[in-house]
Amino acid sequence: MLFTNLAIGQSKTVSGLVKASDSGDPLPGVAVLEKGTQNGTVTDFDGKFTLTVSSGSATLEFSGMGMVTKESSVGGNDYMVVNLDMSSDQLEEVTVTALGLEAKRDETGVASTRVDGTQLAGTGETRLIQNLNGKSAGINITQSSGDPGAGSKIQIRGATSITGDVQPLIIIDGVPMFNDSYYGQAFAGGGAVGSGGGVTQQSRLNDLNPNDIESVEILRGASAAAIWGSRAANGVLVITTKKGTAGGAKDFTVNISASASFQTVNRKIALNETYGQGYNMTYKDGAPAGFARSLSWGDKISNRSGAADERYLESDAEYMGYFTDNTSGNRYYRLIDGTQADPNGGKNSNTVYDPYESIFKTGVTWDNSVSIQSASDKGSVYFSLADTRQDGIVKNGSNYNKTSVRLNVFKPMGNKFKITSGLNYTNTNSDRVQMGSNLSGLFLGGLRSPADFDMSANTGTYTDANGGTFANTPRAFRNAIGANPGYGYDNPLWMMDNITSNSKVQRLFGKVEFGYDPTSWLSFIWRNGFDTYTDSRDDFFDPLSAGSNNGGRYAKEKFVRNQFNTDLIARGTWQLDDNFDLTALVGTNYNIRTYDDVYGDGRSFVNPTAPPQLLNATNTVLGNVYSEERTVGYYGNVNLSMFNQVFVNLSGRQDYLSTLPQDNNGIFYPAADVAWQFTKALGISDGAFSFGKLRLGWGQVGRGPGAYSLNTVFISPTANTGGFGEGWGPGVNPAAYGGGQSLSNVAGNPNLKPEVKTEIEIGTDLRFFNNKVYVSGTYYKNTTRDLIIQVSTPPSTGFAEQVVNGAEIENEGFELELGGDVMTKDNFAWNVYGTFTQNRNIVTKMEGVNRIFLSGFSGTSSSAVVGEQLGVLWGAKWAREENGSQVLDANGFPTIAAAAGVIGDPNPNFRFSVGSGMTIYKQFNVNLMFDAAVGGKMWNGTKGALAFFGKAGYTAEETTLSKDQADNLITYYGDAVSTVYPHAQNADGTYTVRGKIEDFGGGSVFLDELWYTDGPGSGFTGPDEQFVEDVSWYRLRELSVGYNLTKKATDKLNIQGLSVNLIMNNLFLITNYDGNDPDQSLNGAGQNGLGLDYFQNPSVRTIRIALNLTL
Amino acid sequence: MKILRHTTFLLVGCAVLFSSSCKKWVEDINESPNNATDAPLAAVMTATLVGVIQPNSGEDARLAGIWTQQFTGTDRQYSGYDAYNISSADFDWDGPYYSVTQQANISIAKSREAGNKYYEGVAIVLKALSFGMTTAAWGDIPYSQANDIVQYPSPSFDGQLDVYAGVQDDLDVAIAALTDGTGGDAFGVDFYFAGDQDKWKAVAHTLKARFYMHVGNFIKAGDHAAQGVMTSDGDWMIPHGGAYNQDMNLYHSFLAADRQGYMSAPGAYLPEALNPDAAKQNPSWTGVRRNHAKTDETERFGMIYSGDTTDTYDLNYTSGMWQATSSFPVVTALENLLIIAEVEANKDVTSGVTALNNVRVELAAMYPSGTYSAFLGSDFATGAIEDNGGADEKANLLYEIYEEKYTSLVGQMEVFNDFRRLKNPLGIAPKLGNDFPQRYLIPQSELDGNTNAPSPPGLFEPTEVNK
Repeated sequence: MLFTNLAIGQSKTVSGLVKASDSGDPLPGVAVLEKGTQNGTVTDFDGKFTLTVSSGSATLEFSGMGMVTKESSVGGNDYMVVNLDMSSDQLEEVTVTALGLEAKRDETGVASTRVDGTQLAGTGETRLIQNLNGKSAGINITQSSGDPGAGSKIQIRGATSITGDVQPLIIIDGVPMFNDSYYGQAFAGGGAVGSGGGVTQQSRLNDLNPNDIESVEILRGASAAAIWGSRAANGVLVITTKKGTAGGAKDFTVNISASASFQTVNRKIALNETYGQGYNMTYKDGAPAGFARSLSWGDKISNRSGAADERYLESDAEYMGYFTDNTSGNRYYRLIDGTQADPNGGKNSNTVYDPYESIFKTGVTWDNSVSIQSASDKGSVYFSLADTRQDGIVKNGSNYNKTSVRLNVFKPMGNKFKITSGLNYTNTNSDRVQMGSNLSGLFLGGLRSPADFDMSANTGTYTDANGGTFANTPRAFRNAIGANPGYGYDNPLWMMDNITSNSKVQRLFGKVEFGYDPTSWLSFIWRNGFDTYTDSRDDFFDPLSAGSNNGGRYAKEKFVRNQFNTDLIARGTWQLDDNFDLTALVGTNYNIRTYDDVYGDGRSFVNPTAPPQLLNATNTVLGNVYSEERTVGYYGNVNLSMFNQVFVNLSGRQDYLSTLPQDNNGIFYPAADVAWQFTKALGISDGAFSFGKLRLGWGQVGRGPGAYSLNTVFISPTANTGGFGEGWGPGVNPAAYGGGQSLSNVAGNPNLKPEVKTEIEIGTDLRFFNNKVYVSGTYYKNTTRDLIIQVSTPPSTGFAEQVVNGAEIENEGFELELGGDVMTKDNFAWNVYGTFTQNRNIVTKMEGVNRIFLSGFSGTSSSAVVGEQLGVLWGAKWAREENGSQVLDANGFPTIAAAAGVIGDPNPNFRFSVGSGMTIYKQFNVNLMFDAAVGGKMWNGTKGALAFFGKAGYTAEETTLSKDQADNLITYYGDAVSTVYPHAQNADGTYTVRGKIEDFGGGSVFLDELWYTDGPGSGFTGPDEQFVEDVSWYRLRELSVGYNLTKKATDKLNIQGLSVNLIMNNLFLITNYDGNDPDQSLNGAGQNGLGLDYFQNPSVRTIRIALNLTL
Repeated sequence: MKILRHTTFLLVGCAVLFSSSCKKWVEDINESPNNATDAPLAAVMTATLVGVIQPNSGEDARLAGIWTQQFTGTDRQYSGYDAYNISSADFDWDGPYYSVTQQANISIAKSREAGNKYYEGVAIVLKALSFGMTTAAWGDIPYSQANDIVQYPSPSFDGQLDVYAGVQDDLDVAIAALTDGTGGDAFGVDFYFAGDQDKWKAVAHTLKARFYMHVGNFIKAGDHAAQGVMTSDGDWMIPHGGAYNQDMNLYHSFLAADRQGYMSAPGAYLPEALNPDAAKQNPSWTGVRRNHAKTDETERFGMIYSGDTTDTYDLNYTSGMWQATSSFPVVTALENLLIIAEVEANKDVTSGVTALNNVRVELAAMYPSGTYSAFLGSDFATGAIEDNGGADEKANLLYEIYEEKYTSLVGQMEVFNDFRRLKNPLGIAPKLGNDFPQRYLIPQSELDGNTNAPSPPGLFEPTEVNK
């Protein structure tokens, strides 16, 4: 007792070191307080402190900004080492609102996710949008194809429109920015725009350099986005770019990074490599024109002798001359056709060619960037220059080159004034390769080529039967000796050299912001943003191109998009008393967006050797389009903090839109949310359950009609305007008959109102184990009413479409984000995180129509159907009896239903991602992320078409039938197998026939070539229903391994840091889908449809090595 | 102090909100700078005249040719069509209802306003043609409520006989307007007949005859055919240049530019019948020969087809009637004369043969190196050159008239109309099963958008007039 008393009475001096528990770095400025007293000190620059305490039983309290406060008793220590944990509260403290202003995350009543810039840069994927995959709940991203720079569609909390834009508004540093994916007016390709031909276009958000991004805040709900009113219906992505920061002891910091990436096709389509070109299990040569010769229903390749091929001789009537390949000098003749007596004919070679080998190479991307930054109390500067050179996996003609420069400057002028500016210039130059439903498409010609056709000889001289020569003629499998240039499909190798599609974009965007803080409680912001770009496109088809582009075609299009946005904001803060704080904001916004497009499309060249030149075309269509939309908005926001635990946020915006009827052009959008930190009420601030917040949000946002939707106009129809032409291609243009004008087939509507989305969300943010583990869950439900739909009116009204406010769509979903630190030791840190997103969408109402076409083909499409999720697949079905059995024809084969219907739903049931990061000895780090989309269907149109051609892998199946079976089983037209394929009989009397036995309920029948080419067994001839497949996928999207030089080493080199990283993107993919990587959508980012697969270019896997140096 | 702050803030807020009436910035800019809200009669009339091209020589015509075995669907979807694998999504009505009747109604209203009887008459003929051909192929269709989206956003379907009756009435109005003809081709836009009101009148009469045939009214058909197009200089032909997607012949566009290989003619009936080289004819096709002592179809065969064996038949689009610049027939003297021939032959053989011989005079003029000698009644007797396996001379004569019309109107939708009306008069075997398609399917776009659309009849269900 005495001893104790002695101890109490005895003051003691203790010193020590305070360090950060994760990095081990000393922590300056940490307050050290003897508990229960006013006695205290602060750690010095090296994290050291010395304090004289009353006694050894004193307890010290260590508290620092952003750290979890820690208590430690002095006891017998003279020297203490204290490790402080970083407060996750602090880490996540700041969120960025839709106006680009900072707010405390724990005080907001809405769900939002912050993605750090470091998670978006250097992943091996050059497209910024693709890097958002798996990083946030509530977001669904679908790429159009794996082409370099190809656009992606972003969708937050499901589709909220049917025919309007479904992608979120992009705000960069408080200013709206374009994220268009225009297909343009001229749209040169082998197919029409709605049917997915041509080339894939880019998403303009990808113009931003990922290295410049500080963070992306994904504001998912209506109440978070309401301040943007008529533009916020799809949620908002708020991007904050980097500000200059101070570089330790140096005046400025320089960061240099360089990387090389290598891309390969990540998934191949199964193809028939067993049977060759021809039909009826006999070889047919592709030299003459003729449909059946294009098929791969020919002879069995392995039955061929392997000897030299035999050709028709000059003396034969079938002789057609020969082709001399420009590269190899090899000659190609017409080979002798097979017959039932001699199925192989003159084709003796049994070599099989893989189109993937022929068409693709390893793509290489060089990515180099430098940034310089500096900050002091006199302001800050951030400068960057980045350059990306991506040479795609296609052997030629597919690349994406981007150079961007950014300068962000912050300059205070005295105490009350400041200027913030951010300027970004991006130059994009990309060669696009033809894809999709397009006679020149890479895969249309590539995958339909028979396995025994060598496409490598693609350009040469055709010498005809009389000895006449035609130099530089293309050769393809339907034009096997160059005698019929332009017939069928282009050889993809010839196409990539002779058909070009280039897009050059010059873009300047940014803002200049002036700030004025007259008093401590009042501030003004005058923010001026702009975004302007020019997209200059050239599509050139060589005169020897296939189909309607034969004769040559050149389309030139140049469009300019402009956006100017200005906001004037006043913001005041008040402390009403100890328990009530109030922040209020009012603002006004003016926004103008224009689109100005000029295009020319010329065909049939006079001089086939002239460079791309519209005046060289004899058949020209010219046009121009201009549109302008303006919005004026007034908005206000009140934020009330009560007892530091309940936070109420009210906002409203009154918008006036130029695109609405003038006497009724205003609309008001209210929103409210409340957050309650209930753990504060319970007095909890640490321990196993360290933080809890409940939040509730409600809001309305909307979308105005497009420009000029109010009137029905007269148009100058062209060949492809409804009625004057048809989906197959042919059409006439009244201009060629003296010039006519017709009433547009889109009926205007002078009474349009804006679409209004109302959303309610409820959620909670919880943290455990001293904030080391977090869970955030949100349930939401939104309804969009008065949807502006281009209703497909019944054609009998004389209109194809009418713009009406006639539909309603709902989304209901659940989002979960969780994660935490598994371990935070000095030498080993490990964290995991995950996201889960489930959204159920339903089109609840569409006035006067049962279905609206969104994209695809007239037969098979992604559509809006009442009672279904947006984008359901619509197409022909099997005819069925009421009991569900198939209606069979006289021969026992199923038949096609008279009316089409819903055949599948492409929307995933849910998406999730799981990621993890590890740091070992502070030098090595490993990061990985899996993500998945589960459920959902895709129409595998590629497979359906390849089935017709006999190229789909599964059509190579063969069956051995007994003689009896062969005599009795019938094929599609009712003939016995033995009579159709007498040549398939084996020595023992059995028949080995390509095809299979099937019973549709009317007895066994034999599905052979005729089932696929004439019967309903293919995508061209039969119901689409049979090619709808489950599309669930699971992938390792990112895996990276990095090494950072030790501090010791960097000090020695007099640099701040050096790291080397190996990053793999899309390393593996698990899916049952029988086609390309299923994370694709034929109609790209610009259209609302999804779930269609038709000869898109494939996706890639990337391996990247990157070097990062900080000076 | 607090009061002061609040007041200041409110003042500032109000200043921001109301400092200028920004609302005017969004006004008066929503008039489209790209398109007009009205167009003159000349421009709409031209569009209407061009509008009939696609519905009469596009997809619907090709399908008629395939299902009557003049052509063969040989690739992809067309292989399916060949075997009657087709669904409602494969059809559309943009042609008839949008590019023809919608624009025709505006032309009619504008020409009435302008007092121009000529354009009024022509526009009504175009409209009547469109409705008549649409009801022929589809049966019941929207007619009385069509093309009036404000009153009838979901037009109800009229019975086929009512549509035909309405079309006949319209043609009477057209004939009356054309008889008046006030104003003429004031703007020089009539690229078919260049202001010749009598030619349009004759066309209107032939159309009346055509549609009376559809409903089996031979007497009225004969009456109007007698006032119809009697010689080929009165033929209504669509002129074509060769420019793709401009004025190119639509068959050519499909065959040579857009869809090579989709449609040719292997195994088709008509080339087999026309082929003058007996040695190359398919031996399994008997009794379908058109060449004999009085007839040489070599030239006509070469105009329509290339290739000369059953597996090489294709449409001759390089030098024949499907060339890029070939004119395409809409209403011709051949059809009119064959209507007369059918009507007369049903009365008696002698006048039927005379009428058929008038057709052969036209043919001889069209194909100068062919032979189309005049028939005698005895040529149709059993065992004679035109013994077509019928019970008597009349049956053999009718068979020849049917086959002649089938041949003369090659590529036109009317062939499919006759084929169904006469219940497959040439006895051609269907490609699959025992039945031929009896109608086109109501387009999916109509089913989707029209709440008054009936439950769609099946492909093999005859329309009212063919029941």
